[in-house]
Amino acid sequence: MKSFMKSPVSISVALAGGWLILLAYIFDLDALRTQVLGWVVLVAAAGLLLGVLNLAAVHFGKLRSGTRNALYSFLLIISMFITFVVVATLGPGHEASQWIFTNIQLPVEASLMAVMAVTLVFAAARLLSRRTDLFAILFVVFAVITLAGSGPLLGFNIPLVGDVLRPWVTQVLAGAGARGILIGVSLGTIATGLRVLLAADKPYGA
Amino acid sequence: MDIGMLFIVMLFVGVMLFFANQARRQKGRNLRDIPAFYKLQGALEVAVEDGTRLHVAIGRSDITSPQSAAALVGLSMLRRIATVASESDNPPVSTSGNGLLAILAQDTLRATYSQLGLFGAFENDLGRVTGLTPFSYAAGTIHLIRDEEVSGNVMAGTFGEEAALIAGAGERRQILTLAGSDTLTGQAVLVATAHEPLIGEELYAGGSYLGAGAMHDASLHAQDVARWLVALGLIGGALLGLLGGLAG
Amino acid sequence: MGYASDDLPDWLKDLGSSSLPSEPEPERRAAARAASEPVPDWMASPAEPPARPESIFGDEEEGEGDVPDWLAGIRQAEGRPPDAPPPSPIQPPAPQETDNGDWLESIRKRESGSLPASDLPADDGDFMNRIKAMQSEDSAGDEDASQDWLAGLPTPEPAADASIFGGESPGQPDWMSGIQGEEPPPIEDKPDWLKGVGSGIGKGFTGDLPAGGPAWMDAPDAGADDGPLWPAEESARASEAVSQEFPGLPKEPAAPSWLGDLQPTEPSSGGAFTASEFEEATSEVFKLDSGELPDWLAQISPEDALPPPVEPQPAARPSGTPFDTGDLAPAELPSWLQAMRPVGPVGLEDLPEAERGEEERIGPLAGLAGVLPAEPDIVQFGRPSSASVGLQLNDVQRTYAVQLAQMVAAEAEAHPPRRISLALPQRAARLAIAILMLLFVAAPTYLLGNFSSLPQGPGQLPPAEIQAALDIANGLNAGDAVLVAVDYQPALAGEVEAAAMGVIDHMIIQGARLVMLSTLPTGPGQIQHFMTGTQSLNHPDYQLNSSYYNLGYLSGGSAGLLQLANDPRAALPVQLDDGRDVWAEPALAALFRLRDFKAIVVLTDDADTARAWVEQVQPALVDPLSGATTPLLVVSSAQAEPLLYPYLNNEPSQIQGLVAGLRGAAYYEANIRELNARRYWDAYGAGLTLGVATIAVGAVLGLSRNLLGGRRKTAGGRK
Repeated sequence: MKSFMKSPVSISVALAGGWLILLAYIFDLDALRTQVLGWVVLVAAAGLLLGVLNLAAVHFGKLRSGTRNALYSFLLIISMFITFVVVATLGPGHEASQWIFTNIQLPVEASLMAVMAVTLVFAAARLLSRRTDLFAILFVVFAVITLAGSGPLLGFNIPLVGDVLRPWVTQVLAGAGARGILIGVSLGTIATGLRVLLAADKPYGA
Repeated sequence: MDIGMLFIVMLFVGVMLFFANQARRQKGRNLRDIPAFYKLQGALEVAVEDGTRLHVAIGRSDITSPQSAAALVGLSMLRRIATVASESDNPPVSTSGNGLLAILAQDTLRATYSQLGLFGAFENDLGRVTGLTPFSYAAGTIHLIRDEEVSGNVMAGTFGEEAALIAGAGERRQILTLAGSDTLTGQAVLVATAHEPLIGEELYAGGSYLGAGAMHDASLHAQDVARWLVALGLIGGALLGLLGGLAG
Repeated sequence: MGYASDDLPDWLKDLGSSSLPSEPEPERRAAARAASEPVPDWMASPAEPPARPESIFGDEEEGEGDVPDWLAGIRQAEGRPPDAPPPSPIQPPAPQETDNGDWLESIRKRESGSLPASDLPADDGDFMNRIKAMQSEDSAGDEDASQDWLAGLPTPEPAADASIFGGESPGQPDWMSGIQGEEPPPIEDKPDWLKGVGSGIGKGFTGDLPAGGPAWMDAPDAGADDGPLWPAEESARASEAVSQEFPGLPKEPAAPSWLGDLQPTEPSSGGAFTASEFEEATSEVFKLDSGELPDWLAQISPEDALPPPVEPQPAARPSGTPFDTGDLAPAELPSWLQAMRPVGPVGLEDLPEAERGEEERIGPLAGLAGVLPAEPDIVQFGRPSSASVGLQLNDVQRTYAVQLAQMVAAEAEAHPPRRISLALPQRAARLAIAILMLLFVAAPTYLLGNFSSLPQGPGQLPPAEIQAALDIANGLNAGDAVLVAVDYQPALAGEVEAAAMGVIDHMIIQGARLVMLSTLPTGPGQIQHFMTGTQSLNHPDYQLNSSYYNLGYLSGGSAGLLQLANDPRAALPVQLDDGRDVWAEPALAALFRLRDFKAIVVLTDDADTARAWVEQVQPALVDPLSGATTPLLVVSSAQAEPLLYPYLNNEPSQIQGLVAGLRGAAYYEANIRELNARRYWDAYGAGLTLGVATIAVGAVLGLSRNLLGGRRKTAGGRK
C-alpha cells in the first residue's frame, strides 16, 4: 500500500495489463487479447530503438569523459550512425546494407563464436581441476560422448558412439533432464509472474 | 473458459498467500542451502569494503516473452544488491541486451536509491545496454567487467551460449561469477564456465535468498509444493500407463 | 574581492559566513605591529603583480580550492574564514603602500587608522594574534616546510624535538607544517589560494560578492562530482537501511565524531545576494544541534561565531584593551587533544601566573594557557622556534599520532583498480588451443578433401526425424507457399546455414514459394544473406519479390508470434518497394491464416526460439474441424538438438521434422545432393577431434592432480 501510494499510476497500469491478459486467456477473450498484444508488440519495437539509443548514450558518455577506451566508443558511434543512415535510407535489402551486414557484422560475430568455442573447450578441460565431484565427472563424460558421436574423429565415425550411445544420451538422459529442468523453470516463471500480478514484485521501480 | 488454468492460477496464488502468512508469523526462514548465494553475500561485503563494483547482468530476454521471468528475478536481485552495496564507492552496474530491460534496470536502481535517500548516486548509465545481439551483448559486457573495477559478477536472466564469454571474462579477472539462466543451453555452458552456476529453478530463488521479502520466500515454497505435485502426477501417470499397458 | 554567492559551493557559503568573528582587533597589538612589522614582498601585493602560471581553477583570485572540508570546518570553528590562510609564523616585511586589495594592506590601513574598523576583515584579530604569537617565539629552531603553499621557501632543517606538528611526521596536516616557515616566499611562488586571500578577506564578507568563480565552484553540485557519491546525511540513511537488511554486514570503521561533524551539512542552491543576506542565511544554516557538534565545538554557541552588528567604532582602541571575549565559554579539550598537551617535568599549573602565557580564547585550544607560548607585545623577526608549537609526546602518543595520520592519508588515497590477469600457463593454454583449433579446422578445408566418411553410408536409412523432413519437402508442389523463419543470430550463421541449405534447396527444387520473416532484429539482413549466399548460385532465377518474399522483422518475441498465429496479415503489414501490399501478391493472396501455408520451417540456433514457435504458433496450425496439421519443420544448431527431441517425440508430435546441425545436414544431403555439409564435414570432424582430445586430456590431468593432491593431503594429515 505504501508503494502504491507513491507510484499509483505505474502500479495500476502494470496490474491492469497483467490481469487483463491473464483473464483474456482464461475466459477466451481473443479480441481483447489481440488488441493488447498489438500494443505490446509496438512497445517491444520501441524498446529496440530505446536500446539503440541507450547504447549510443553510454558510449557517447564514455567518449565525452575521455576514458581509456574512448576510441572504441568513437568508432562504435560512427559505425552506428553510418549503418543507421544507410539502412534507413536505402532499406535492409539494398546492396550497401547487405555489404555492411556481410562484411562487418557477420565476421565480427563469427569471430566471437570462435572465441567462445575455445573458451568452452578450455573450460571443459579445466572443469575437473576446479572441482572434482560426481556431477562434474558425469558432465565431462557425457560431453565427450556427445561430441565424439556428433561427427567423425580422425576421419572415421566411431561405431556405436554416433549411432547408439549419443542418441541415447541426448534423447533419453538429456531429454529427461531437460524436461525436469524445464518444469522447474516453468514453475519459477509462474511464481515470478504471479508475484508481479500481486504487486509483490515491482520491476518497474515503484 | 479455461477452468483448468483458472484453477491452477488460483491454487498457486492461494499457496503463495498461505506461505506468506506463515512467514510473517514465524521467525527465521526455512530455506535449503544454496552455497552460491552465501558466496554472493561475501562478494557483496568485499565490494562494499573495497569500494569496488558488482556487475549484475540481467540477460537479453524480450520482456514480452516468458523468458522475461528470469529477467525479473535478475531485477529483484539487482534491487537487493544495490541496497546492500549502496555504501560502496562504486554502485552496482547492470547490463542487458534489450532496451526495455535496460529501462527496467534503471527504474529499479532509481527507485532503490530514492528509497535509500541516495538519489544523487543514481546515474542512467548504471543500467545500460551493451549490445543488441547475444554476442555483441557479451562483447560489450566483457569490456565492462575488465575496465570498471568489477569485483563480482552476477548473471541472472536469459543467456545462451554467449554466457561462456561473460563468465570467461569473470574467470580471467578471477572474480566470483554467480550465474543462472533459464535456457538449457545457457545452464550447460555455465556449469563449465561459472564459479557458481545456478541450475534449474535455483535462479528463481535468487530474490528470496537475498532477502527480497516474504512473498519471495512464499513463492519459493509454493514452487516446492507444485513440484511435488507435478512429480506425483508424473509418477502416477506413468504407473497408470504401465498398468494400462499391462492390462491391455 | 570575494565570491559571487551563486557560484560558490553551498558548503563554502556556509563556512564563509559562519566564520566571521565578533572580536575586534586589540589595539595594543595593532600599535605594536604598526611600529615594527615589515610586510614581506609576497604579502605586500605589489601594484603590478608579476606574471604567474595560470591557475588550474581559472580565475586565480578565487583563492584556494583544495581545502579539505574538515580543515575548513576547523578554520570556521576557529573564527577564520575558510579561505583565510592558517596562522603563519612568517614575518611580514615592512609596510608598503599598495593600491590593491591585499588583506595585509587592509591591516596596515587599520593599524594606521586610515580604515574604519567596519571595513576591516573581522577576523584579523585572531589571525594576527596567532601570527604574532608565532613570531614571538624563539627563531632559532628548525622547522619543516613541507607545506604546498610554502613550496617556494627554503627547506628548513628538521626539528630537533620531533612532534606530530613539529615537522617529522609525514602525515602532518599541511596547514600545520607551514606554521614554522622560515622566510617569506617570493611573490612568484605565492600559491593560488593565497593570491586571492587578501582581497577575499578585505571585501568578501562586507560587500557584494562578485560573480566570477573558479570552474570547480561553477558546477552547482561540484561537491557531488568530486567528493563522495552522496552526502553524509544520505550515507547515514543508507547505512541504516543496509544495517537493517544485512545485520551481519561488516561496517566501515566509524569516523571520529569530531571529524564527522565537521563535514558539510547539506547542499543547497545558491543565488546572488548581498553580504547581509549572506550572513543572515548562513547564520541560520549554522545553528546546529549540539548533537551534531563535537564536544569542544558544542561549547561555542552559534551567536559566538556570528559577526556583531555593524556599529560605529573608534578607529583604534587604546593600547592594552583586552579582547572582548563576549559570551564565549572556555571549551573543554577533547580527550585526544588533552593527551597531546605538552608534558614535562613541570606542569603549567605549577608555573607562576606570569609564565603561563596568555590564555587561548577560541579554537581547539580555547581555555588553555601557555600552549602556544607567545609574547604578543614584542615582535621579533627571524626564524621562529621549533619549540614554539612542538608538543612533547611520549612514544605511545607519537605512535598513535603517526597511525592517525597514516589512517587519514590512506583514506584519501585512491585505490588503483585491481588488474588481475590469468596465470601465464592458462593464457598459454588458451592460445595453444586457439592456434591448434585454427589449424585443425583450416587444414582439411584447404589441404585435404573429403577424407571423412559421412554418417549415412550407402544403403543406410536416415534417422526418423530426417526422413520426416525429407517427406515434408517431397510433399510440396509448385507454387505452394512455405513460411520460413530465419531466427538465428549472425554468429551461428555458418552452422545453421549449412544445415538449412539442403532443406531450402530441396524446397526450391520442388517449386515452393518461400515467405520469409524473422523474430530477430538482424533477421532481414540475415534472410538476404542466406538467400544470396546459399541459393543464388544453384537457383539464379529464384528472385526476391517474385519467387520469394522477405517480410522482415516481427517484433514482440512470443507476443509477436502469438499475434502472427492469430492474424499474419495484421502482424506483418509489409509493403513492397513500389508501395504494393505484399499480401496482395498473387502468390500470397490466398494466405489468411498460418495453416494456409503448406509448411512452416524454422531455422534457429536456439531451443527456446523453437519452443516459442511450438508453444505460440503450432496450436494455430491444427485445423479444428478436420484435425489436419500443417507441418512444422525445425532446422537447428546442434546445440539445440537434445532439447527439441521432447517436442518431436510427443504424441501427437509438435515438431514434425528436425534437421539438427551439420550431422543432420549431412544425412539430409546424402539423400538429395551434396552441398555445403559435405564441404564442412571434414573440418567439422577435425575440430571435434581436437575438442574431444583436449577435454579428455584436461579431465584426466585435473582428476589425477586433484586425487593425488587429496592423497598427499591425507598422508600429510596422518603424519
